[in-house]
Amino acid sequence: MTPKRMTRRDWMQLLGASGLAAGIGAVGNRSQAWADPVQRKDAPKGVKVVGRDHAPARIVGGKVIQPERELVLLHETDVLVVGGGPAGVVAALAAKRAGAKVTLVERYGHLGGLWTGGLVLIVIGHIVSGKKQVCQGIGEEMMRRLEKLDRGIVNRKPGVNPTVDAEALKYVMVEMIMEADLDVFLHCWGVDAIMDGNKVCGAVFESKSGRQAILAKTVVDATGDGDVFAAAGAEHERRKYHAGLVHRIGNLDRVGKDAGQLDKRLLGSITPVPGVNWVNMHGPDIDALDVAQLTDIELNARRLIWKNVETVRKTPGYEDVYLMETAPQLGVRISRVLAGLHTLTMNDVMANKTFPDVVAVGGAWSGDHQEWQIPYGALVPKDVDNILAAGRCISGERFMSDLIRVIPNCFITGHAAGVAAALAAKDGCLVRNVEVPKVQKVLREQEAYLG
Amino acid sequence: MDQKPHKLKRRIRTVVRCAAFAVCIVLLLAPLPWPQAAFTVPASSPFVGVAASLAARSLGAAALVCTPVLVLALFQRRCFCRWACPVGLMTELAGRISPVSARRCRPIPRLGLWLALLSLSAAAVGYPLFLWLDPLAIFSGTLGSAFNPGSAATQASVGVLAGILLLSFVLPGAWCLKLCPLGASQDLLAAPRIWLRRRKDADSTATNDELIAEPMSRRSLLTTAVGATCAVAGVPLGLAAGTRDGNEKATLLRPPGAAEEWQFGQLCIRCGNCVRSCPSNIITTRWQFDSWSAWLAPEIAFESDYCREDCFTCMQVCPSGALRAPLSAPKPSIGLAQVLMDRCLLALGRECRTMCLTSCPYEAITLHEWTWEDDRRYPIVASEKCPGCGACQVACTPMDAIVVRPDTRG
Ligand SMILES: Cc1cc2nc3c(=O)[nH]c(=O)nc-3n(C[C@H](O)[C@H](O)[C@H](O)COP(=O)(O)OP(=O)(O)OC[C@H]3O[C@@H](n4cnc5c(N)ncnc54)[C@H](O)[C@@H]3O)c2cc1C
Ligand code: SF4
Repeated sequence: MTPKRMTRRDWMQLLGASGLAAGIGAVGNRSQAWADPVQRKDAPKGVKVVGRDHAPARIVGGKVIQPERELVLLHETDVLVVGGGPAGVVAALAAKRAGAKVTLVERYGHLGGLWTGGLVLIVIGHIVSGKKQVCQGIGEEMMRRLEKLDRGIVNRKPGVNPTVDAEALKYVMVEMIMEADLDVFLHCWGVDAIMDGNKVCGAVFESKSGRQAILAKTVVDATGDGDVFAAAGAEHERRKYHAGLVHRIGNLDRVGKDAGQLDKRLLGSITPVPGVNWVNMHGPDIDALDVAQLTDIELNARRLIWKNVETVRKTPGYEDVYLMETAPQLGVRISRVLAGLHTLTMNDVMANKTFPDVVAVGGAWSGDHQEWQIPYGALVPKDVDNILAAGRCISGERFMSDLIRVIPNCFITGHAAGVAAALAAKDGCLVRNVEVPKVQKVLREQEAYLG
Repeated sequence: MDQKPHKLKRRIRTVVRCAAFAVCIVLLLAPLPWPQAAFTVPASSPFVGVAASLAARSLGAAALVCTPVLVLALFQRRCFCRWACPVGLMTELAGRISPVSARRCRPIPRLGLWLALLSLSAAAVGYPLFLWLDPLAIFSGTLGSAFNPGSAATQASVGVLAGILLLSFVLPGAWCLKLCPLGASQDLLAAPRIWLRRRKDADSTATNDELIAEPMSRRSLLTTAVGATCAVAGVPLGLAAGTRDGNEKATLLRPPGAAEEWQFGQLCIRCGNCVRSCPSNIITTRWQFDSWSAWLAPEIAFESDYCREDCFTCMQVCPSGALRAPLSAPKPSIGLAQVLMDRCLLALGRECRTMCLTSCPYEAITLHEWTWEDDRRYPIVASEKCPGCGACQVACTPMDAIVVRPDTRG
């Protein structure tokens, strides 16, 4: 009832009726003058909670100790995909189409990862020399759907890197996920692996619902940072790379033709929405697994962006330009990289090396070299069983990171991981023992390009 | 006269010449494990060896290779022409099938002597003119066209050789007797001995071999004198041209180990050895005319490969001293990489694979350190580490945003 402020008339009524000697109880009676939602029979009732559902962390001998406890089983599934970026969404759809029961879990409220939430809008790396497009399959399907939308995608021509609209893509991904009838959990942060010996059999999630478990026959780690395989104890490398916050600016269509000169960097690149550009940021080299450094970037990047947009606005002709939004998701390029059965190398790429267990064919940044093959072994951990990596964290040497992490090369490894995880779950085998020719067959049926 | 031994001698000579021809072909074309093989062909010319050593003011390997030929020429007039020269064999064949008599070229003045003398005396002051007219250089260059058909140097050699053969058909003997500077230098070498012998034995007759030049006459001595005068007169011109060319360093990329730009075009005999032997195929001939002395000299063009860290081939196959391998120390540099800030994706704030950085074998490229005050990230070339190998230029495929430029720091 506090929301209603007392008026002077209320006070008069109050004083007049009860006199100065009247107790507080009288106030309640007098307030009956207006409807009280609490007294209504259909009023929603809260649940009274006393105590807690688990023993909290405790200080024991000066150390913070988390007591052992049983976790609520949130869900059971064939294939569990953790991370809803380009790799994760494609993996989930592919696994579902391959006939598995699939669950997709994402820590944020939207799908698309850095491609949407990171405002990384230009799709680099799906073409090779001769303007041939090699990255096909479900990722390509998304781009075709975007094409049908007004302002969904621009520059979609042979041999050119197209740019998407983040909101259109989030919408397309939701449509595809809902059509496929997947189980999705958003706002769920994967925090641990569930192990049976050396075998991953699910993951633990933290959300507003607390700490819960999802059990799965096979798991795909598409978190970009390899959170799940790291928790499972898979060997990996931690890499530092530049990380930054991307933003969008608007009103560029109001810039006059005789506008002043300014650093092109500050204006960024076009998006499908007229007058709106996205502006990249490189940022310092950080360990993106260190929360202090992540915080530092988020804070400083916002100041820098504001300063840069002001510089733009102070340039004659650019007065109407404004900061539309900063990316909801910090731009982490590389962090953890799996040590896989096979490590991708630049020499293999340059030598056009072919692999019998090829499950994806990557493209070049701008069609400046030949296609290159990604073998299944680059997704499979050396040591831990039943988990596959997909997206920017698959196994590759340092020089390969830039080629592996681009969006199309993420959705093709997602595609491969999804199909392989589904087939392993169906055949009841470990992912490392899946029949690769079968995986290749299903991938081809799903219109993936394998050379 | 007894015809039989004469015939036999001719036959032996034909066999030896054919064998020499074959050896030259093998040295120039076969994939031998010894990369310097091709070098020996033009280097065996005393004309090249002496002129190049004079111009470079040092005795290079070329001088060593040509010494036997040089010594033989002192005792046996035109012994190289008679027994080994592959171009001589070809011109003789051209002359044989020609309906024109070899006598027709008699009235032509012996320009070869002029060329040789002019070149040698100019070489003495660092300006070896006409070295590229050496038949062995031309022959090497022509065969080089098998490897680099598109190269201007080899095309030029093919053209000159074709010209020589055509001339030998139209006017048999004109090349060997009157024009060839290598033939003429052998005549010069043999001159003192013949002169001595003449004095001893006044009735001795000149050889009846039509295709070989007669010994030095009074007239040729006269030409020599004129040639020498021209050469001496030409020297200041050459030097003047040399100094004028000095500022070319700012615009041209020469192969590693190249002499100073003002001297390079003059030392280089355009034999095409470097163009042909470069395993990375990055040496081409500069067609564009900058100056007479630099015209058609080799230049570096990074297209699909770069100058490998451990490769010294061009310096090893250069017979003229225009490219010289260092005795020790690191590989000589070609230029210095420069980032074009208006093209570089990183400098423009875009996403880049930074292949320039990854590809640099000398770890000479780093990125500008990010600070919140200066938020630019672009490649920086450490000039003390960068030898201008071109690896970054080739690697920056998206934009051609990093290019090797001549190092103008002197
Ligand atoms: C600033 C910047 C610019 C770039 N520019 C380009 C470009 O121009 N073109 C291009 O093609 N590529 C570019 N990239 C690279 C590309 O965007 C990413 O590498 C690519 O999106 C990676 O896809 P992914 O699915 O592997 O990972 P991500 O896109 O990172 O997706 C991972 C998803 O998993 C979720 N997640 C993470 N951890 C957990 C967890 N523990 N539990 C649950 N969910 C989790 C995340 O929220 C996210 O949705 C750029 C990257 C950055 C950072
Ligand atoms: S590769 Fe080219 S575009 Fe990329 S950072 Fe290097 S110079 Fe710039």
